Amino acid sequence: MTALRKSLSANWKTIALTFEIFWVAVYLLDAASTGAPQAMQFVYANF
Amino acid sequence: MVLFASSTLLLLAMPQFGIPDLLAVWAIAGCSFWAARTLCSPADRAGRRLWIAVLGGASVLGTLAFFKYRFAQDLFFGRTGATPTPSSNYLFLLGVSYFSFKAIHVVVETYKRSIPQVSFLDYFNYMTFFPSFISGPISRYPQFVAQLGPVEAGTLKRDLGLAGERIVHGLFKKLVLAKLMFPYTLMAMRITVGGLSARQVVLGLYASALYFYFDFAGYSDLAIGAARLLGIQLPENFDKPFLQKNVRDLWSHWHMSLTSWLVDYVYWPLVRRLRGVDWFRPRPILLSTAAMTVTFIVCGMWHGEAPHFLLWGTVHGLGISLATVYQRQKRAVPSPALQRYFRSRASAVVGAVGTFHFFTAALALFLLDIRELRALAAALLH
Repeated sequence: MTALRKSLSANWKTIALTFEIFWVAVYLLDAASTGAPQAMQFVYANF
Repeated sequence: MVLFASSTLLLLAMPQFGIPDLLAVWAIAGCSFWAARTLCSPADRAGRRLWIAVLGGASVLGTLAFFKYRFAQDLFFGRTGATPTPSSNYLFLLGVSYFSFKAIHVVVETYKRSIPQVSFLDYFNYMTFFPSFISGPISRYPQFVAQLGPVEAGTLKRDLGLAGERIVHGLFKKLVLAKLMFPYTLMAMRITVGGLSARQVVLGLYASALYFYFDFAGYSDLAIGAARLLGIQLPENFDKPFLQKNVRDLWSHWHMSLTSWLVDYVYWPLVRRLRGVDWFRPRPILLSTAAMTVTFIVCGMWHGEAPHFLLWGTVHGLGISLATVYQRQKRAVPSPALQRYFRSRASAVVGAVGTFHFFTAALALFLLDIRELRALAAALLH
């Protein structure tokens, strides 16, 4: 348990970044599935 | 030159930003550059320098007012309030706001001679730097220009790593968290407040506070990351604002580059002015309160001309002044138990929770117009 906690605290930045990349990829794939022009419009509208 | 050309091309690639917008941006930058360049010449008389600084600042502020406020457009075109007005170009309006802050900073600092020299290309690069053009962060000219020189060897890998990490944080906040929050915000409900229950409005306000944070902090991360890809470090804009223990600290961690601009170019000049007023001299707390309130009224009016923005600015100005007085009074409390509490974690948590609620409640004044605020007050009182 202590080893797991140590490993988590040593690597929390990488874990958080991986989590963020995963969800950004999910969003972008979802947006891309509606067709490139619409996805780009959403990106522009939210920029 | 390559940076200026790429910034220009990227600006033109933005939707709703065409050649006329670019020419307008260049024209404003040109006016402020002329003022700054003239102010840098060593032999000018003091009176003439003041006039040049006023002219440079007024040209920037006049353009900002024209694009931002309907009353300024009505005044210019001689229109009455009943005449329909064409809608403003939103993107240009946003850009011109931030870029005006930069122009005023350079004009004021060259007037004070803290910027001794302004070069044409550096200035135009500073003004049109693409990553921070639309919504900041508002960088300062000396720090920006110092980074335009030759790059140190071996920094590319570090810059790319930091930029990539920052861009991922920005995309996560903006595309995932802000998007998750948006349907619950007051802006998304698109129903008049009269049609919502008080509970819905209150929940909408909390969601709006979080949405604004994720959206703007995410945007700032993207801007800072994109600039870092080019080897430029922009100033930080957000640093855990909702974890701060009072509203004064919240504002020094929320949209930090704008807050520091307002402090430097509105608050301190006002304080210096008011120190010359006999009535204020023996009353430093009132002096600071008045200057802070006016600073936040300016901040509110920068967001829009409607009276509810003025109310929002007043509430925040008074809130910050009260927080400052409270911090000062706390130190004078004789009870050791209370002093221990003030230094404790519990006090910081209570402060952070209270500050977040204050910010969210004041957001009602920002998001709702006077008619909607009356409807909300009526719904809450019944």
